[in-house]
Amino acid sequence: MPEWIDLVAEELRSPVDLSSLATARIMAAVRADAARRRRRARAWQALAAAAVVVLAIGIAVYARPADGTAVHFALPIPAAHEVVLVGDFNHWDTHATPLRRTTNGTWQTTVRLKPGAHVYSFVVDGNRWVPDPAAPLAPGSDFGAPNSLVTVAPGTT
Amino acid sequence: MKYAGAVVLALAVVTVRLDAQGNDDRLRGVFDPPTYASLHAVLDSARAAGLPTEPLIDKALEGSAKHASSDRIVAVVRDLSARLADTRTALGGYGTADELSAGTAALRAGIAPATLADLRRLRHNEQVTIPLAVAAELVARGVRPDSASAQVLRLAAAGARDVELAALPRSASPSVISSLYPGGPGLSAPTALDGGKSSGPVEAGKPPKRSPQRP
Repeated sequence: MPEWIDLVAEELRSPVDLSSLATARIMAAVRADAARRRRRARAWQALAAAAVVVLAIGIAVYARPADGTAVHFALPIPAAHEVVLVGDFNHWDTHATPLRRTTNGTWQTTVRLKPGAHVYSFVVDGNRWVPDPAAPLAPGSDFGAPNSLVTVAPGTT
Repeated sequence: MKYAGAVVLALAVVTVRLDAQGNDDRLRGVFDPPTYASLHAVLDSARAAGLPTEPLIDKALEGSAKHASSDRIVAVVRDLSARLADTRTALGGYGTADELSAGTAALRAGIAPATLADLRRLRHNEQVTIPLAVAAELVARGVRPDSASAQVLRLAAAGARDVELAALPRSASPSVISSLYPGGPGLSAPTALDGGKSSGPVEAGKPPKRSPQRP
C-alpha cells in the first residue's frame, strides 16, 4: 500500500478541534432545523384538520341522508303514454321524476320534499304541461303554463 | 392554530365560490352564451345584495323547461330578484331562502307586506316559511287575502305549530273556507282530467324506506 494513503488515513483519524464558536453555530443550526420541522408538521396538521372540517361541511350540505316529507302525487289520465313530475324540487328537470301508471290509469309517484311551499306541474307525453287538477294553482304564471302549489309540513321524516 | 383558522377560512371561501360557480354552470349548460351572460349578471347582483340565488336559478330552469324565450326568462328572473328583495324588506330585512321564496309567493298572491312583518314579530324565534306558504295556499284556494292573513296571524298568535298551520288549507272544508270568504266563491273543488276527483298531493303517513332520487 502506498505510503501516502497511510498519511491520509492518519490525518483523517486525528481528532478535529472545533472552536466553541463553531460548536455553538452548529447547535443553533440543528435547533433551527428542528423548529422548522415542527412548524412544517404543525402546518400539515392544520391542513389535515381543515380538510376534515371542509369534508364534514361538504357531507353535511351535499350528502345528507334523504330528508323531508314523503308527498304522493297522482294524475288520473289513462290515455297518457308518459307522465313526468317537474317542479322547483327537481329543478324543473323533465326527466328526473317519471310517474308510474297504475291499473286504473292513474299515474302516481311519491317524492320527498322539504317543508315549505313548492310549485310543480305534470308534463304529459313530453310536451303537454298539465297542472294538478286536485291542487290550487300557484300565484302568477310567468311562462304561460300555470303551476300547482303544495305546502309541505315539517315533521314526517 | 393560526394556520388552521386561515386555511379553513380560505377553503370555505373557495367552497362557496365553487358552489356558486357550480350553480351558475347549471345554467351555462342550458342557455346560449348571451342569455347565460344576462342571467349571470342578475345572479351576481343578487349575490352581492345577499339574496339567495337558488330561486332565481330554478326560475330560469322553469322557463327553459317551458321553452320560454330568452328575453322573457331574463325579465322574469330579474323581476323575481326584485321581489325577493321586497320580501326581505317586508320580513324585517332578513330571511332564509325558503322564507324569502314563500314570502314572495305570499305577496304575489295578494298578502299584504304588513302581514309578513306581523308574522316575523309573532314568530321572531322561528321560521315563518310555513305560515307564509299557508297564507299563499289559502288565497290560491279562493280565500280572500285579508281573510287568509287574519286566519294565519290568529293561529300564529295562538302559538300554532307549523304542522298545525300546514294542515289548515287541507282540513278546511268548503264551508270553513266560505266563512273565511263571506260572499265569495269559496273553495272550488278540483276536477280531475278524467272527470273524477283526485285527492291531490298528499303527504304519506310513512315515508318510503328507499332514499329518493336526488335531482
